[in-house]
Amino acid sequence: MKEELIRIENLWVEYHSGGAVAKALNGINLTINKGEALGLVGESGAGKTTTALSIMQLLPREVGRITQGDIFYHGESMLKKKDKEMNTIRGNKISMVFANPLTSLNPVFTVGHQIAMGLRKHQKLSKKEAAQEAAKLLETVGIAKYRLDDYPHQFSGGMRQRVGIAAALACSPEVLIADEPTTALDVTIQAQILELMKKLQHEYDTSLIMITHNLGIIAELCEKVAIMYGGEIVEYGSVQEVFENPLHWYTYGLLHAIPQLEGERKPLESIPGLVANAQTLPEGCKFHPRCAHCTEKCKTTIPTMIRISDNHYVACCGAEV
Amino acid sequence: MAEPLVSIKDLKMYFDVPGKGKLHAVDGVTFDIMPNETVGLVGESGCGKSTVGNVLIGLLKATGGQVIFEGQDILQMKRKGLNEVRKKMQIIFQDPYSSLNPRKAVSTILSEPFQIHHMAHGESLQKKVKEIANSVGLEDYVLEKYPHELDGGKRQLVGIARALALGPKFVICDEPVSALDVSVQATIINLLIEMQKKMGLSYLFVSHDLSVVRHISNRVAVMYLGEIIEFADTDEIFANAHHPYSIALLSAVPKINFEKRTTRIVLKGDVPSPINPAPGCRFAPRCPIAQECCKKKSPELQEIAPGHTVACHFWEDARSKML
Repeated sequence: MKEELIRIENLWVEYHSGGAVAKALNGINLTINKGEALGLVGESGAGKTTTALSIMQLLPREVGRITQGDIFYHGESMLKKKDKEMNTIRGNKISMVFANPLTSLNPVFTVGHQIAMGLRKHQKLSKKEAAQEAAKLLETVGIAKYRLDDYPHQFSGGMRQRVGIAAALACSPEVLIADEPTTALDVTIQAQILELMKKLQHEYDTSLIMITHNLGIIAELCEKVAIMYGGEIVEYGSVQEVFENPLHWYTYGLLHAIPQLEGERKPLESIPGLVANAQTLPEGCKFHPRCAHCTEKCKTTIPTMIRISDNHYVACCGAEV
Repeated sequence: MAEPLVSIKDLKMYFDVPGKGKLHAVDGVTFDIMPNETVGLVGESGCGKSTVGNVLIGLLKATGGQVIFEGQDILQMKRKGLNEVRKKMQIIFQDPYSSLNPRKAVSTILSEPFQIHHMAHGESLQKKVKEIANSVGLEDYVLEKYPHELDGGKRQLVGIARALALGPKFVICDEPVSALDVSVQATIINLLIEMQKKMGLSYLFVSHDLSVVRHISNRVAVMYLGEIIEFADTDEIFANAHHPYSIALLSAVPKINFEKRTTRIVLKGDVPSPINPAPGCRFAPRCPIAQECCKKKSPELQEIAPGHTVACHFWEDARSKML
C-alpha cells in the first residue's frame, strides 16, 4: 500500500461575489498517494482549479469559502493550520505550476531570484548557495545557467513555463500541482514539458496532480484520473480503465467528442446543451439536463460514488444496479 | 481536373520591425484550394498561418505574390472590385469574445453584411437575418441578445452565421474552435461540415490542433516559420509524413490510445525568430537529421508522390532515421 499524502474529504467550496453564490465544489473526495500521478479532467467551471487552490489554501480571501469538509496532509488537517504553518508547506512541500507562464512570474525580478526565493525562505540557504542551486535547477529544466540573471520577458513561452517548473521544484516538493501547464504552449514545446515532468516524477518520486482538459496528456502522464463535472467528481479510476470502459455518460461524451489522430474519421458526437453553471446548478445529477440517458430518478437524486472495482468508481444513477 | 477556386502564388508578407529588420511572417507560400474542398493549415504559433488567412481576406496588404480568386488577382484589385469579392470570401475568427461588437445586438450584427452590400432591407432583411440564424441552429430569442449575454459556443455560432450570411464560396476559419470547451467544439465542427455540404463551401481551416484538422480537412499544409514545408492529402500526411518537422509534430501530440504507443520525438529548442531568418533550411537548427548542407541551401518543395510535396533535402531518410 502506498503512503497517503493528501486526502480531501467531502469538500464544499462556494464563491461569493456581489449577491451571487457560485457552488464551485460540491462534496468531493480524493486521495493522492506518494509518487502517484493523478489527472483532474473537466471543462471550464468544473472545479479543477478550485480543487487545486483549496489544497494550496490560495482561494481568494472572503470570496472563496470552504463551507464544509477538510483536506488532510500527512493526516493533519490543513484547514486548521495557521497561516505561518501553511507558509512552511506552500512552495516547499506542496508547490504549484500555473497555467499562464506570462502572468505567473514577476516581471521585475530575474528568474534566478524567483527560483532562489523559495530556497532562501524554506531551506535558509545563503544568497550564494541559493543562486548555485537555482542554476542547477535551470539546467535540469533544460535552460543554460548563464540566463539566471535574465528577466522573464527575455524568455519564450515554453522557457518561462520551464522556469515556473524549476521554481516549483526548487524545494523538492512532495506534491506538485500543475494547473494546465501546457495549455498556452505549442505542441512540440508541450512535448518537452511533458517529458520533463515525467522524468522529474520518476527521479524525485514526486506526486503529481495534473489539471487539464486534454485527455491525451492524462493518458500519457497519469496513472489515475478523476473526471469532474459541476463541482463533483463523476468518475474516478485508473486512466486505462476509465478511458477504455467509461461508465459515466459525461466521460463517454468527452471521449467521443474529440477527433482522433488515428483510425476512421467518424462524425463527432457532441454533448447537447451547455457546461453546468456553478451559479445555477440543477437538482439531482448535475449532468442530467445534458444526458441522453436521463431518467426521472436522475432529476431528483444526487448519485453517490459507487465502487465498480478497485480501479474504477462512478457516480451515476444509471450505474447503480 | 477542376479549376481551383483560390490560387495562392508565392505569397509574401513581411513586417518591418524597427531597429531589427524584416519579420518574414509569410515567405513564398504557394497552394491551391479547390471548390468544395477543405485545406487545413497547421503549424505552431508564430509560423504565419493566421497571417496567410488575414492576407487572403485583405486584412493585411501582402508584400508580394498573387491570390487568384475566380480568375482575378485580388491583391491588385481596387476597392470596388474587392467589395464584390468580399461577398464571396469570408472569415470566422478564433475568439468569439473579441470578434463581435459588444454594443450591437445579434440581429444588428447579422444585418450588417446585407446592409453593407445593399442586398436587403426592411422586412426582407429581417427575414434573411432570421433565416441565417436558424440555419446555424440559433433560436429566434438569441437575435435580441447582446454578445456578452451569450456563451462562447453561441457567440461562435453568431460569428459563423455572419460569415455565411451572404452565401460565400470561400471561408477562412482561423482557429474557430480553440477557444471553446470540448463538448461545444464538437457541435461547431459538425456544423461547419454540414454547412459545407449544404452551401458548397471551400474552407481554409487554420488550426494548431492536429486532430481537429485531420477530422475536417481534405488536404493539409504544414507551415514552419513562414514557409509551407509539406503538403499532402490528409490521410497521406497523417500516415506517411516525410518532413522531419511534420514527423516530430505528429509524434508530439499526446494520444489516448493505450495499445499503440508510438515513440515521441522531442525537438530541442524553441521556434527561432522569424526576423531576418538565416539562409538554408529554417528547421535545420532543431532538426534531428540535419547535415551541413541544410544550413547553406534552402530546400525547395518537391513532389515525392502524386499530390504530396515536401521541402527537405533528406526526406527519403527522414522516417527511417526518426521513427
